[in-house]
Amino acid sequence: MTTITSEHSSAPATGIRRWLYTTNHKDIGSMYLIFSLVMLLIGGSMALLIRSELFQPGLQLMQPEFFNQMTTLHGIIMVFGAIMPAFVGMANWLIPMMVGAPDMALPRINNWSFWLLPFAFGMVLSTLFMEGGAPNFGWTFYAPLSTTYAPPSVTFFIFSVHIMGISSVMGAVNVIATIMNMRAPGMNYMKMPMFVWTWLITAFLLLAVMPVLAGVVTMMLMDIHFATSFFDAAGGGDPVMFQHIFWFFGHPEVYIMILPAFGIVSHIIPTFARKPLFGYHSMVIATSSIAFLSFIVWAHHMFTVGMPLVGELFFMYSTMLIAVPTGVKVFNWVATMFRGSMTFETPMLFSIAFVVLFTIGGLSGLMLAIAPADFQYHDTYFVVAHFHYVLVPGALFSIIAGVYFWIPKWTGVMYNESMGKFHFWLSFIGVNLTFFPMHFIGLAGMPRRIPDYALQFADFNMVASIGAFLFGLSQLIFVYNIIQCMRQRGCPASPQVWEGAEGLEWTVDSPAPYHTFQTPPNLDNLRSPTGHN
Amino acid sequence: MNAEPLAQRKSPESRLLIKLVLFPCLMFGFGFLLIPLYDVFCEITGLNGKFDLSPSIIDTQSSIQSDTLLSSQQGIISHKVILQFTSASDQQDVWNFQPAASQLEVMTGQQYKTHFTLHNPTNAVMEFTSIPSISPGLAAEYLIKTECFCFQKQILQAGEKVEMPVVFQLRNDTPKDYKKLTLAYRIYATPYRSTAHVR
Repeated sequence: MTTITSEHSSAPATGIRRWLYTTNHKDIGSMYLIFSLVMLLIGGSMALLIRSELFQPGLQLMQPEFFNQMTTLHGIIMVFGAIMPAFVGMANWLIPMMVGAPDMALPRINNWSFWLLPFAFGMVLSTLFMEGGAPNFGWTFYAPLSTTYAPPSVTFFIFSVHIMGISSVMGAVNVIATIMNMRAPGMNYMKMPMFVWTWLITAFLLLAVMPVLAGVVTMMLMDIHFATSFFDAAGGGDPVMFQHIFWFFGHPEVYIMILPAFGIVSHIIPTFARKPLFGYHSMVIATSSIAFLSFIVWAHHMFTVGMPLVGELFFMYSTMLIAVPTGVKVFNWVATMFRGSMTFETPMLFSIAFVVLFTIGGLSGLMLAIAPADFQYHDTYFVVAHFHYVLVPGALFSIIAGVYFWIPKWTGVMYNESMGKFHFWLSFIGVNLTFFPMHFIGLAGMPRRIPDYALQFADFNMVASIGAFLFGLSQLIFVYNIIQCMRQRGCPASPQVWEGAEGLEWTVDSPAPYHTFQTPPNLDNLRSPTGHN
Repeated sequence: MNAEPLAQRKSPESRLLIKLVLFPCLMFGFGFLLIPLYDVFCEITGLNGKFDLSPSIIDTQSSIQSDTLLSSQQGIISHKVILQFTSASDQQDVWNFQPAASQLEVMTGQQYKTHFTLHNPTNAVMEFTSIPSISPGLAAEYLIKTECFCFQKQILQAGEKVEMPVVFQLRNDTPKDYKKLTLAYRIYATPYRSTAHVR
């Protein structure tokens, strides 16, 4: 058999060169996903170290300095290394296939933005072995802890944050350019799948706030090495200003970590309810409103710094306002399920758990939004419970659901359904066992970021630690399932994969060929996400 | 002549790309712009009780005159305010930084002088920066300081003890709601670097 090789060779290169030089969105998507899985396991191991130390009061396993390094690295790695790259990986795999494009708009930049990440996180992890230890100031790296009192390794931390920021910004530019320029003819904005919509908005958030993060770490760098006084009161600076700039980045950042999750769940629930998504337009509007509001609520993270009353009220009300579009989304998902022909495959189980548990996290967020009450909750385990509820059974569950949902398309092989369900139930029990008791110990006054605690918190901490190990170890089932799919062990999947699946990515073979939609697809037979046509 | 074809040569895609690259660059700048914006914000809301760290150059005589003029026009008369002084430092017990009087009863529109004492018991020449703050913060604009040790860095020889004066007045239009104000100073000590300052 003869093959015609053109300038644009269609077969992937072999060996390591395939992965180093690739500009293929599917290869890069896979690398992002595998990278984030590795980071999830590293960050998760750090979480387990933290929970082991907190299993009982007193210091058993580690010194407070090391404990602080663990909380810091756990946060940084999970946020920037696990959740964000996982979503970028899914964007890479799915957005071109969902909009009927042959690849991402800027394939070489795509390669570069991935390959920056291993170096950035290699540098972060290398700080563990440096003199003075790894960064120990918490993932929010408040000045002056991260400037005047920081270990020497903070400079490496700053540089790696710069690299992560460049990577994210390039990824976001790529996503926007792809969505705006490369949609198949006939796919107008209001026919785009929800995942594409949520990612478009997320990409704009990334473009807006990652440079601000780069700016704030640059100011830290200058304070540390160039004798400026951005955050040093002695030189006329202000440490509180660090918090303002950080949270101006930080609050949109939390939506960067949840909007793509909304998109994923908006694909899975309609598929397994066998009904079109309820209220597609309101979903789009709600996502945009959340993105807009995210820019004007940042100071609710710092109610206790001493703000004028007007400021407290403004940030309190604007924060509560976010509950409205978020509520619209939750009700839309519930309405999608209502009177649907539901089946409960693993992706659907994770998605339903997402809706329920994310709502719990959202409600504790509303409690924290109440400025006068926040003085009690601030910097307690209640905050830890809140943001873990929105990030673990929120963002992470949606990623797991998405992986189970699309992995037949990616690998061409069905995952092991009973192991998937087993993984779900262990995770569901584990996650609640870990994080629900934290609400109670937080309300009772246990502060966060401490290696030791008062005796009255011992029981709940023990429960949380047991839950954490249950949750953490059950992820090994997930890893096993993924590896089995990658090794092609399992039943071959049909192109449609799921009975109720809708969208362009399900019209191509499973596994998706190396190149898809080299000629734009015809959308005439495709039902739009609104359910019409 | 050149402008038209050049603009046409750029496809919509590359124009989008330019915007997408420019936008993060602008946002990077915006991060730094937040610093002056924050200062303006502090001034408006009285956050931090920050005020200008330069001496008021208005001649006292004329300022009093203009204030009297103001008060006679609006019927505001001088009233009494209690002004409290507090001091803090990064190493309080070492520097022994204290106000001479913990509080003064002052009349608005009148000039007063008080001082703070500072002792350097160490063997090193030290440099001190003082950061003032007034509470409630919104009252910062009513306090006029004509002389203050906070205007410049203080250098103390080893073992030296100084009295550092503050000359101030409260503006005549200080609202009567402010019955008690607190003027706080915090000093930051750094070892004296001889190359940096010549006295």
